Amino acid sequence: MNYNQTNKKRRISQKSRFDKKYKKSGQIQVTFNWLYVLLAGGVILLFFAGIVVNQKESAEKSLSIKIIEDLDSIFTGAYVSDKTQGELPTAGLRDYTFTFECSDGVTEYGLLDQGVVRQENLIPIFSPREIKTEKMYWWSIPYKFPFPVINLLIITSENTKYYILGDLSFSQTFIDDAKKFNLEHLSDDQYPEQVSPNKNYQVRIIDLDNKLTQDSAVPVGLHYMDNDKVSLVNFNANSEVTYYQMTDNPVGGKMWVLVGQSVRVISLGGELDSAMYAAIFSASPDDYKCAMRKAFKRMKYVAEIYFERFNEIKDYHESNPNDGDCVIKLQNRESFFVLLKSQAEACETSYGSGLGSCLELLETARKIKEYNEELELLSCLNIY
Amino acid sequence: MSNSKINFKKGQVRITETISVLLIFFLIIVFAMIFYGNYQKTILEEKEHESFSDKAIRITTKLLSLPELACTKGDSDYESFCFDMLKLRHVNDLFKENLADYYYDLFSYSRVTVYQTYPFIDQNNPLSKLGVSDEGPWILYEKILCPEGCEWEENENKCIKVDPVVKTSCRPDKKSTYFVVSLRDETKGVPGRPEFKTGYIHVEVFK
Repeated sequence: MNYNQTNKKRRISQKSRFDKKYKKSGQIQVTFNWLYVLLAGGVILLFFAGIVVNQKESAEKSLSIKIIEDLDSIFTGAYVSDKTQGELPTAGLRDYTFTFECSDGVTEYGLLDQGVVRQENLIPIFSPREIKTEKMYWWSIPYKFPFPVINLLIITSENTKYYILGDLSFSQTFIDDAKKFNLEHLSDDQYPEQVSPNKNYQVRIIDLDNKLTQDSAVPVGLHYMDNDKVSLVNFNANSEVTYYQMTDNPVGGKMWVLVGQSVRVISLGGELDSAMYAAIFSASPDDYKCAMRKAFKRMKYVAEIYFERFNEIKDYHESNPNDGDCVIKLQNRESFFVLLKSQAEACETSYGSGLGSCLELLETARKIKEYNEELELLSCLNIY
Repeated sequence: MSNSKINFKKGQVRITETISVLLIFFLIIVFAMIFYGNYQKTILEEKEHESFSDKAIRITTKLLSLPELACTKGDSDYESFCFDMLKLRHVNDLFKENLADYYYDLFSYSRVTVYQTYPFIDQNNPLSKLGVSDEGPWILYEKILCPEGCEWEENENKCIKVDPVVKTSCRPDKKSTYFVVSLRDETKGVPGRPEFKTGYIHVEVFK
């Protein structure tokens, strides 16, 4: 082999060693490059994914808070405009469940499982425990005892069905007053066959004649609903309201179970009986009592201002020589207002506990009402 | 220069290039987050301002249908936008005595004053200046929130800076609304026809 051939061989061998070296180096470099890109890209992707998830949770929470704040404004507005009804479209919130519960004088309402609740300690709110709907209804009715004390706020939904049994006259008046609410009167022939859930979220049966009891059968049409979505409210001749819930019958089927104790409705009756209507829409006796106690709390302050008004009226008639009859009529009647105030204060804590003090409150209110009518007949200034 | 040295330098340049790109990228992200944070802050401030205005309107709305003030007509509905003078004259005491228990929750930090506009007020009446005439103004409710570092001075009837040496007044941050009302007085006028005056309520809400 000559020199040139040897050199050629050496060059080829050097080149192949060189190529091998670079091939290996290239392989490592490319691999490392891709690893680096994947790692860096993954980190950046995770970073943005974290921001997106965080923002989503924050947005959901923000939406829940805004819904509850808006509800608060709506309820305040509804509450101050007495004798008004309205509807609140909630189609965009059909997947959310609104909850309402009253305890210790405070109503808490919010969205279920969202951790957002609002507390209301002044406005008496009467509603089902849960509402899941595309349209909510509200109704503000003044509680007169005998003068206007506070507005009671009733909240329900288009998919909460109320079947009314008994007392056709009251039933018709109630349906006329409630207007858009999902109410239906059933005669004795129609009950229980015509009771069915249809597409309602919950059903309540209102028995005005105290015919249904715990031993009465639950309409078969309602057996397929959840137990907590079917209830019965029963009124007796003493204006006592009793609540029942559907439950499983150990021997099969469904039955009614008593919820809490009966509660006396403290009301002077008459047109637009707000306390009775509130009892119809209230979730349970405890919710009803809790909300009514807010009304009694307000009553003691309103009674005080009417006492001052009474004193002004008395001073006015005493200063007029022609008002002898009125002066005589107004003598020694301060006790009405003092009593009303003290009895309202007692009811604020003891209402529904069976101690009976609220019946005395009812009696005092009746006396004030009669007294006011007597003053009107004598052309004296009225108490209210 | 040998190939390896050249490649080494190329590699260095490439790595530096990659690091610079990433640095600028993250810098842009940081700027975007600062911008977003400032934007959110502005939104929150706007919302707070809106909520503050809303509060003044809500208190006014509550006042107009308050049983402690409203003109009643037996078993009929209230007279709208009407205050009963026989109640109004005593409502301040009621609110004051029961402020913590009830009325603070209703009116919060605010001041509610009722002014009479017609019949025209006799400006020379010394009782008006003392606030004890029957022509108002009537302060129905008052609970002032002084700004930070200030406190309410009862004697001066204003917010004073907490400074042992120099007493300077502070201006509370507030929002006002007004609403026209009629003032019914059954102890004036002729029997069966009470006297009606015109006035307005001034609601000041404090931040």
